[in-house]
Amino acid sequence: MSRPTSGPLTIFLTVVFGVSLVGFLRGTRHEDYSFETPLRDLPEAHHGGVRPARPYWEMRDAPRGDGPVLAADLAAMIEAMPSRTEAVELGGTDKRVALADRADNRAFFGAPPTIPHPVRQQTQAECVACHETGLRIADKAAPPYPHDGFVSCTQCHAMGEPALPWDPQAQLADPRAVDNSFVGAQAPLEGERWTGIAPPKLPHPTFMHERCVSCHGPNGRDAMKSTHPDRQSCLQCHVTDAELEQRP
Amino acid sequence: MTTDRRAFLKLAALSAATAAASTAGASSGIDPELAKRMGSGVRWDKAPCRFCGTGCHVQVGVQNNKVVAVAGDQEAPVNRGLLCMKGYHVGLALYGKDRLRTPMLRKDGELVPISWDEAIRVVADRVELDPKGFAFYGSGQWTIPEGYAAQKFMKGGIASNHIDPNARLCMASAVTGFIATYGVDEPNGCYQDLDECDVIITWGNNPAEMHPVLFSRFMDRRSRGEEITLIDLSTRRTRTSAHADHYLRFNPQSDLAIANGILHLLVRNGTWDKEFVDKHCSFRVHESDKPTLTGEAMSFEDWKKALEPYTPEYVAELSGVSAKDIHMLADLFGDRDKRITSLWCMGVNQHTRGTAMNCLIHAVHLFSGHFGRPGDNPTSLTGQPSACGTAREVGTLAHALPGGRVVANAEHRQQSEDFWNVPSGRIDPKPGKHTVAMWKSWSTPKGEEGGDIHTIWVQVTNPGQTMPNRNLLIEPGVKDPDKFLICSDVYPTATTEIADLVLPSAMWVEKNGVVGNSERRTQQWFKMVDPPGQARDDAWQVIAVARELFDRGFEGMKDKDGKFLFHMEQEGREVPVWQWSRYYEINVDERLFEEYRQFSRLKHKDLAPYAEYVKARGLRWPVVEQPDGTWRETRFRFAEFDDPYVKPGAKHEFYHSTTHDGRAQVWFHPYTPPPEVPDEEYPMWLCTGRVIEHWHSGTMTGRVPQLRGSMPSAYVEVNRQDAQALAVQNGDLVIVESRRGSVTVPVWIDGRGSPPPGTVFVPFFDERTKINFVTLHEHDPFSKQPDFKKCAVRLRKAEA
Repeated sequence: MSRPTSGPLTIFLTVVFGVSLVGFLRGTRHEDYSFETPLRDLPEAHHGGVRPARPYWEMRDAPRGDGPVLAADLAAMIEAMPSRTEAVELGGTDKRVALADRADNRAFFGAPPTIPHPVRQQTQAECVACHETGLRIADKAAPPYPHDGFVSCTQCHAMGEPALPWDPQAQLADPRAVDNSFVGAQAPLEGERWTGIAPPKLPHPTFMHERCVSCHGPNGRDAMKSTHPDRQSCLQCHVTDAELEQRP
Repeated sequence: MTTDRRAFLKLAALSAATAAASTAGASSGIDPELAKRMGSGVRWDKAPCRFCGTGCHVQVGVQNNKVVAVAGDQEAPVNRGLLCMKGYHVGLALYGKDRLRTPMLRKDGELVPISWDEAIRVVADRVELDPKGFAFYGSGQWTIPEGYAAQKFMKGGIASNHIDPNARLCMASAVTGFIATYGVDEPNGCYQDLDECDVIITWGNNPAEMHPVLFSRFMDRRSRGEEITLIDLSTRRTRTSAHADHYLRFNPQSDLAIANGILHLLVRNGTWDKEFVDKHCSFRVHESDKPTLTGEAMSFEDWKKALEPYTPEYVAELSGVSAKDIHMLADLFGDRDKRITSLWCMGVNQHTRGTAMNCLIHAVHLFSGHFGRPGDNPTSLTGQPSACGTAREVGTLAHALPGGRVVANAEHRQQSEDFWNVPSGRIDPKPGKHTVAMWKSWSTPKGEEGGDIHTIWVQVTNPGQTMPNRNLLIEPGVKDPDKFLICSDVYPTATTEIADLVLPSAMWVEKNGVVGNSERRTQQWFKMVDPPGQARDDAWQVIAVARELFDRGFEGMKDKDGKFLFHMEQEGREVPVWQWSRYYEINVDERLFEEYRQFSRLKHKDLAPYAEYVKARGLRWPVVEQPDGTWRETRFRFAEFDDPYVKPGAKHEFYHSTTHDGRAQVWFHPYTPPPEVPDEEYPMWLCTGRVIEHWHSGTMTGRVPQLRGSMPSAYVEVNRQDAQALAVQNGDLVIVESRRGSVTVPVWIDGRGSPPPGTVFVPFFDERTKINFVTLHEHDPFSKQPDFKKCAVRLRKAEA
């Protein structure tokens, strides 16, 4: 293997895997997002904010060196989960903004979200590394998945951006129309209450949303969090909708 | 698309919320406008998914005559509430902005809008030009009533047998495999096999991407603590391989050798099921001259002898799978305590030895006795929502009549003529041209040998993208002014691009429908929203042309009593369903289905009345009426415990046996090399196929932003070693060329799948890179199905 041929290739591939490693850092999608971590003073970023892993021949010279990847110590960056007994204040955030943000990567209320970060193409096991229990790094949260018992994540979740190691538009200009006039059902602002102080009814089905903590837990969007995370039995007070549950 | 779309959605949601908040009563705290969207304002109804042959049911949410949401149907036994990314987004497939809205005729090279009346007249003119040269090309996406209407129009009306579906490119070898083995088409088992098997073997099959819900149906059992073994036999590493306990990579075409290797060891080890084979099987081989699908008897001794060469060592040499792994497979099949389900689809069917390979998988299961128990069956999968229901059961094939009948059989013709009430002799006894022959004829000049087909009417498929070797089969016809192409579709496609007449069609829940999935399940839905513009149902288009011909005095469109071939009445008065404004006055689907249902008894594929399917999430045939008036479906055919047509006490009975003794045929099929193998000039194998995001030629999924966004472009998967030898990296454009044609695509090293050195893979969904200019049109001699999975190509870097 001669270096001039394999060099660019290896760099490119390591970039791809580097991208998937730090993919979770992009977390939930924000406009004008750029990758910066407040936790470490890292060398300048490349490739649209993502740092490439070092090529192997550099590692040979400094096997435990102070390269950028080692500096980005994942474990040190993960924030501790808030205690479930702490009071949660919802003041100051607008639920409509939270819902619109949530709608960003969903075709309609109830559609599986597209994945807002690159993923590897051929394996599944990596998703659970962050989404099993959920975690938060700075202002990026990986929600725990709301449904148990499935093993093929990319069956339902498409990628929000193509995870191709090249720019598809640059390589093969795409003149085809993709305009779609579908207008999906939107999330209601909140569930129905029969009096002002009654616990709201679930405005969505529980099927595939069995773990309420996914959206309403301590790492959820501010305005959607439960104010009472210490209570564990959600459906004790919050009733479900027979039609949405597809009950006959 | 993403930034603009997201910004738009966010704004839309915010402004709707703000507007609602300003009017909503502060006391309730409910946003009435938004709450309505998921509450009482949305009407939900069932429909099977539009895409693959799995047959998931979805719940479709409709508001203001538009689909606004889709949910998995929790009552559906197939998918139990789960869908795949295509199913969740199926509602969006209706709303691509470039939906075809008006009929268009090519005048001076340009497609110009015309009226429906004119369009119908143009089609009728083409029929009258020479009815015997008029052909119909459909697909397994025809609903059962649509396919039935087209079938009756062609064979019972204009008396041309040139009607064939794209299922010829997809399922034909599965059909011939079933018929050669059991004497009757379609699987004996069902999806329950996936719940009860201990071992799954995928034969050249990638269900993680192609039948994702079925893949999860068995794979998810692992997360419930069940032990199942997945053995992936494949020519490249896929997402299915990622879950496999054993990934056995074999050389293209050597699947025949592997199956023979298993049979060889079952004989050698004496682990075959002696009781099952003695009672229920015969041995079969092709005649040495003029081989047929029924073949001739072979003694058990001769059959064993024929298998002698297929030692594990010889099979390892041919296939690249180690002798140890061949032993492992044979030991599994030799163990009667394990329940083994085989899954296969295009890898086995799109094969120049497709019939043989289908027969061999059945042979392995029958000979080892892994047959007939839940979880212990050979289960063939289909790719289209009604490949089984329409192409195979309605029999929209050049040689077939509804209900498993064939045009060559006088009795079958008579039965069909009686059901249709047309004069004796109406149906032509000579089979029409199958797909490849049909397009070859269309691409052969008038007056030349075999050039008799002058017009093809295409519905619900996209041959411009999916036919192999397009330069041979399609391009000459496009350039020939005597040849005429009619295309009914919902979007501009690679076929409408070359069509002379384009007819805008309604799709999915814009019309009523009935389809049949891979497990013999017949599924019904009702129209829920109106089609856009002047788009109209495919079945209406056929009936309207039939009526135009009837009005012109065309004999074939009259039945024996002089009535219209599609005569329908209500309360004693004829309903003019050929007028679009009257089409939905009655349920035309129900009328066509009830008429078709009479055909279903001959081969014991009994269908229930339409009303039963309205109530159910599909029913698996044979659906047999019980003494109490209820209808009972059948999960396992040929097994006494479930199939009412098996003789009591027989345990198993193959009641359509080609040898008329209730036995299934265990075939011998030797390994032979493929028609084209890599050589010095074209040194690599090309395989083509799908990706999870896209379905068929991508004309629907390509309009769904979430799916298109996830996989926007075709590519060529290249092994790292080959990429190094070619000095190309990810994203570099290369030319993939065969002796037939070439395409230019970006390189992806170890992409969605990883091909071994010397093999490349290109998905076929992208109409910009029509990989079928490159593929081979050589086909299986019995099924006439071409091989899209292997041909010889070379790669070179495209000049920048």
